[in-house]
Amino acid sequence: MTLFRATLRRLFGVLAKHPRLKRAIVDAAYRVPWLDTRLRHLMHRTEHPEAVLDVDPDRLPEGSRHALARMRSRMPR
Amino acid sequence: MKIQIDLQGVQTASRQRGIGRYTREATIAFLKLAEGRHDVELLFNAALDGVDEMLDRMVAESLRPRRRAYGPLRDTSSDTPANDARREAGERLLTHALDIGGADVVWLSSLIEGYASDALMPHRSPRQLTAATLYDLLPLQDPKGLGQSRARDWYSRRLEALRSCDLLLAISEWVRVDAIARLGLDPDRVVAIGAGVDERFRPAAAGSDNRAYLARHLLIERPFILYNGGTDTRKNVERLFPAYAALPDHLRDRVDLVVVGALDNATRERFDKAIRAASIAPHRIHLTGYVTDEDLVRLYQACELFVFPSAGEGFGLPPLEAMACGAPVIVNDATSLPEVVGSPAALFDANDVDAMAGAMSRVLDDPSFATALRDAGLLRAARFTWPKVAERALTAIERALTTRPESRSPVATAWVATSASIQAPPDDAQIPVYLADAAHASDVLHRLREWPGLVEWQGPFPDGDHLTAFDRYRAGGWKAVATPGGIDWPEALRAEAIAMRTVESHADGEASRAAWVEAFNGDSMVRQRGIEDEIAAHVAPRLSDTDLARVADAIDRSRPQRATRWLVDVTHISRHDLRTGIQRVVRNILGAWLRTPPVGVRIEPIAFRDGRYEHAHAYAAELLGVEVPEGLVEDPVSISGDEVFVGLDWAMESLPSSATLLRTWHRAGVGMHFVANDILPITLPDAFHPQAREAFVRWLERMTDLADAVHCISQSTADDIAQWLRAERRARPPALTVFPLGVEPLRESRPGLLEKDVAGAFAARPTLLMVGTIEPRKGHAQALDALDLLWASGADLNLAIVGKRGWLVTDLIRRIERHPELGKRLFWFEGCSDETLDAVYEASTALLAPSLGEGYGLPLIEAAQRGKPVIARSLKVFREVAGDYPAYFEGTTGTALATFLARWIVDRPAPGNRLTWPAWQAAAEALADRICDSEHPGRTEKHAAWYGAPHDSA
Repeated sequence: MTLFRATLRRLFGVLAKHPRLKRAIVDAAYRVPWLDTRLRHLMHRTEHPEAVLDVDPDRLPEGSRHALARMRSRMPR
Repeated sequence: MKIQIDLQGVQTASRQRGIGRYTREATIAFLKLAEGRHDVELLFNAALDGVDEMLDRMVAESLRPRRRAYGPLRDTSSDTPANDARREAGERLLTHALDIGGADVVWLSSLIEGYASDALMPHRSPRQLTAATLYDLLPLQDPKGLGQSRARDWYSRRLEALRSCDLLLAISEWVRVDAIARLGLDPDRVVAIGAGVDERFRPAAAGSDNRAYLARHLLIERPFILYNGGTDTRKNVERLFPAYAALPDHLRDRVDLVVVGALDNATRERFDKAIRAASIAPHRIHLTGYVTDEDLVRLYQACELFVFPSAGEGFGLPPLEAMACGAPVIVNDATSLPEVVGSPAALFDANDVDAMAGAMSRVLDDPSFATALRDAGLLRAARFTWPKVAERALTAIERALTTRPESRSPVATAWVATSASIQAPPDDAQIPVYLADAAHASDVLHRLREWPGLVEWQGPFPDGDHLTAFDRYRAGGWKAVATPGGIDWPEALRAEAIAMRTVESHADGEASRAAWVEAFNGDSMVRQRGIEDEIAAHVAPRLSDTDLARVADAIDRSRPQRATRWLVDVTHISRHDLRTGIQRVVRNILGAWLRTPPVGVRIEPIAFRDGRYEHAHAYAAELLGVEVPEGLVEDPVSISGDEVFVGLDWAMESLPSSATLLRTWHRAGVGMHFVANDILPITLPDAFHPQAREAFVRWLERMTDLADAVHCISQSTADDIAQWLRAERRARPPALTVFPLGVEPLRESRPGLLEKDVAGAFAARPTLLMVGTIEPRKGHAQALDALDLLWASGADLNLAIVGKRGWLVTDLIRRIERHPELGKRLFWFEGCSDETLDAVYEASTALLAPSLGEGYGLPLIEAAQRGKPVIARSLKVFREVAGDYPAYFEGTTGTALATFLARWIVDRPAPGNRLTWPAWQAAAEALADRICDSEHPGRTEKHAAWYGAPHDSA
């Protein structure tokens, strides 16, 4: 996760704990449509980054992990 | 008979060419022919595109065969030496995927792929009867055309693969004869199945004005001679220009020359040079590049003559299409082309430009000859249909299957693990056989997860209480976690083992053990162990760690799962349960499914996090009120294609990111189902912020584009979505179903939950209750207007509002907060627990539902359950959900509502008949039924009724 995304996530976390502040920002932002759109897009993309289509070799599902371990154990030394 | 068709022929650049069209049309016709007779499964390469077009086409034909995907293993093309190890792993993976598919027959749609793409061919012949489509062996006529040695090696390997097939399905008799001669094949193994012409290619309808259309769209204003097809040198297009130039002046002045086909810069330069050399005025030649099928049909129908000078074809679809459209067609007297046109009069020698010009002149100058060619061409083309191709293919496959000697799988070697060696790593054998008893039950269970094998059990089983929550989850999913004692040791062991048997003693079992082990040679896990060992020994040392991990993942995912998993998306609710109506539905449906899953189904909540879906075990445990089993990790979700995805939660924010991944799941065979609550931002646009509306439309487009079926919470919502889809003119609209929402059983209302002043005010006068988020469409403003009028006229009644603050209501909230009656006769419960809501319902006189639009109307049911009268706007969805129980009002002004309320307060009419609503368990079962029904192939009657006949929807 990039530092930028991590920082944004922390900021959104703080706002979630202060609903009045969040509401004030939302009320202000939605009166400026382009700002509202940009902020929402930024927020959604920060919380839900684009899908990764290939498996993460460092974090395989359990069955694949076992298959990999079995193959490694059978490789010629 | 089960037939698996590998469809890489529609996945590479070939999908834009004849191979792609042939594969698509032959497969569709084959699926139609085999429907109800044979089980046909489609296999795709997950690293390649082209799947969506094929799926769209199948849905348009009302076909929904099962499909699987293997991989993705990328960067495997043969043109790069660095890809060699990955390609070998991929080829072994494809062979494995074909082997374990359980098919009797494998049909490879195109083996001539993968030089410059990531298409794969089997490493060796699959164990099943293997058929392959044979398009041509034209490169053997001119081997120099293959260029560099890697290309020659690549083609040689393809030829070897073709030779090793049990059956070759040649696309023409000429290809069949050529292949028998060049490859030295047994003639019985090569069958000509021909090709077909699509029904879209037909003569112009009476009254159609193609000339005007072509002048407008392609700027072709004069009569013309047409060529359509490839533009490589083999097609001889460059000889067409001097032949055109050699036409007599009166003919050349009358007609232009139109060349349709791919045009890259090099080709255009080559053609321009030939046109200049032939001294043809450039404006008389039209190089159109690719055209749409619709334009192509018009060109065929309108041309004076279709000329096809190609030096070599496996079949020659363009002349056949032109003939089917009623064009006079002449072709080069070479390879398969005489077979296609069927008339010696339609042949010329393309090596002789004057002969070609002469043949063209004869057609253009002799109307009776042109008519004879047109008539003969139409009769000839009628003999080439895709259903006939499919019939010939099926007959050939059936015959080959009956004459093929039975093949046996190689026997996997077994390693017997006694109680002393259970924990030792197995030796080189593929199948461990665990000789187990109660003393080693846990060791065996643990070991099976790492090294799957057979279990031979002696003696009594341990008490099921000794199974951990993790063991129970592995054997029976969340239902088993929620119901301790539901799983016993034999079940837990069988869930992990390839197979298990019980014997009196291991000594007794020894005699029959070898035969027992051999019976599982065809098991998918045994075969997986085989491919793992093959790759470990022969390929893994040349693969990077990342590639090896991807190969391991692809191998493991190619194994069919024992149970169907329903992956329920809880991305949002698992992070933050806002307690909205939608999330109440999610909690109740998912809770019911986790406790009592549909038969044969495992329910797995999943969440989209950091670009991947992961198991949401913590949320499942929270919903069931249990601890997360120790050792259960929220791993990434692994897909084999046997799953069903259920978008139960509202996912407007995450779907734009997750859709790409879900699309790959869908291509791999995962059924896509979404629950739709409403499309109010579209039907009531003024009630939503423009940005929210746009985001909603984007979500709806993505969702309906992905979905196989959308399950709506009301008929009204289904009708709204159907109307929207009709307006969108989707090629592949999802099926639409409706399921009922459930109601919760009434809780005992606890006294004292309302503050004293509030309780006193409620007791003093009638109270109208509004339940729902405060947002523009809910009608709070109209209700306040009405109450203001009534209060001003001296009426004495309360208005209680239960609901969180929503959007676009700043002024309304200010009006409520500053209202002089607030706390006296106007009450707002912003954050209200379920218990407090019960108490407010109990103390209220009637529910007021002035909403302008809803997807359902849960508060109406909650009020009716409690016997409270309901005053509701006359909405279609309210009438659907609550029948004639409510008193319905019309009008959108405060005055209209005030008048209605004043009369109602005086008359207090008794509510109408109360409908019965299902409990959440029944609602969950109803949704599960809809999902199961939608997973069956074919459209439901209701689907057809909504969209019309399948062809009308395009």
